Amino acid sequence: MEYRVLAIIPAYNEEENIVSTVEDLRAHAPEVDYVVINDGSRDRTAAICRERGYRLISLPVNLGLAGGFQTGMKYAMRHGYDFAIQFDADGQHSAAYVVPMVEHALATGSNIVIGSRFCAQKKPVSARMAGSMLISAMTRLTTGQRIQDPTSGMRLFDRTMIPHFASQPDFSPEPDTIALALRSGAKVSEIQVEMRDRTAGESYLSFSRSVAYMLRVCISMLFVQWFRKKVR
Amino acid sequence: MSSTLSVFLMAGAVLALAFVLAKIRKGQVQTADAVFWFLFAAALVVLAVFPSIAFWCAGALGIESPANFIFLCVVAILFAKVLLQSVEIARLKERLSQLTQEVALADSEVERPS
Repeated sequence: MEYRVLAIIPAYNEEENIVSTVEDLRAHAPEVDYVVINDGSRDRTAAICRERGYRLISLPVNLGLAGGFQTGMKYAMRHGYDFAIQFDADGQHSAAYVVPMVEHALATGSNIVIGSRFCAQKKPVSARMAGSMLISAMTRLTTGQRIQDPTSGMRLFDRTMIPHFASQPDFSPEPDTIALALRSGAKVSEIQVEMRDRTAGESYLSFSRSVAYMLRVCISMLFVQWFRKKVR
Repeated sequence: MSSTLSVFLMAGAVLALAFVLAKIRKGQVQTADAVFWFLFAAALVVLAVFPSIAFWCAGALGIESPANFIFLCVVAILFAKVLLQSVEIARLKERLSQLTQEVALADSEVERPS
């Protein structure tokens, strides 16, 4: 592949998963560069990466997913990468899908490719999927486009999107930002991927956090969105 | 306005002013920010000493009780202040985030010169 691709792996207290995540990338996407963003972890995440010689950027304090991902986007921009992909450190994402996502972006001319769990498969019925469907409906309502899996954390961005994520304030890798990109004229597409369940460690999403997340995304997409400046 | 409320308001205003001055003295409030709190506390004292101002304003605006006029003003001013502080905090967060990212990026270049 003549394109340079960077996998950004934000990691907060992922000492149990980080090795398998990075080794998966090295084995199944060897042509893709990666960088681990240690987001002020209190466990041995950073130490493990240093011992094994992984490419690491270690934040001195915890900034949260958006701040960690933005650090990776700054790195991608400064080193002239053509594509950057958001890749979870908890083992949910499979490295085998990274290259197909890049190929899909090139074939369709997409600026954003979402690794979707529900492109070809139906959504299971659960509270979390109800949230996912609500966000899909709001995306459809505000942008006219159907996104099957808006909350998928596996998203590929091309070089037109990287500078926005690297420098714009409040530009987090979330469904509301995808909707903003769509309204700004970016092309977004999805391909089917398989995701694993968490292999170890604790999920970030508790019930109260899920409710707060949904509330934030809803208000952002339905109200705040119309007052934000379009990008590019 | 009842005289009890007037006395209460005056005592409160003087206490608020003393509190603000103490914070400024200890350097816990920056002088630039202290201007707001000083004027706010001073305005409360003036209103307590000359309640006729509140009576006149309430009458002019058609508000029955001067106390309600004062409450309305205080709530409006504090609302604006909290909103402005929210803006200020967002700016500080953004700066902290940028600084943290730059420190980490610079560190990674030192460890792995490219």
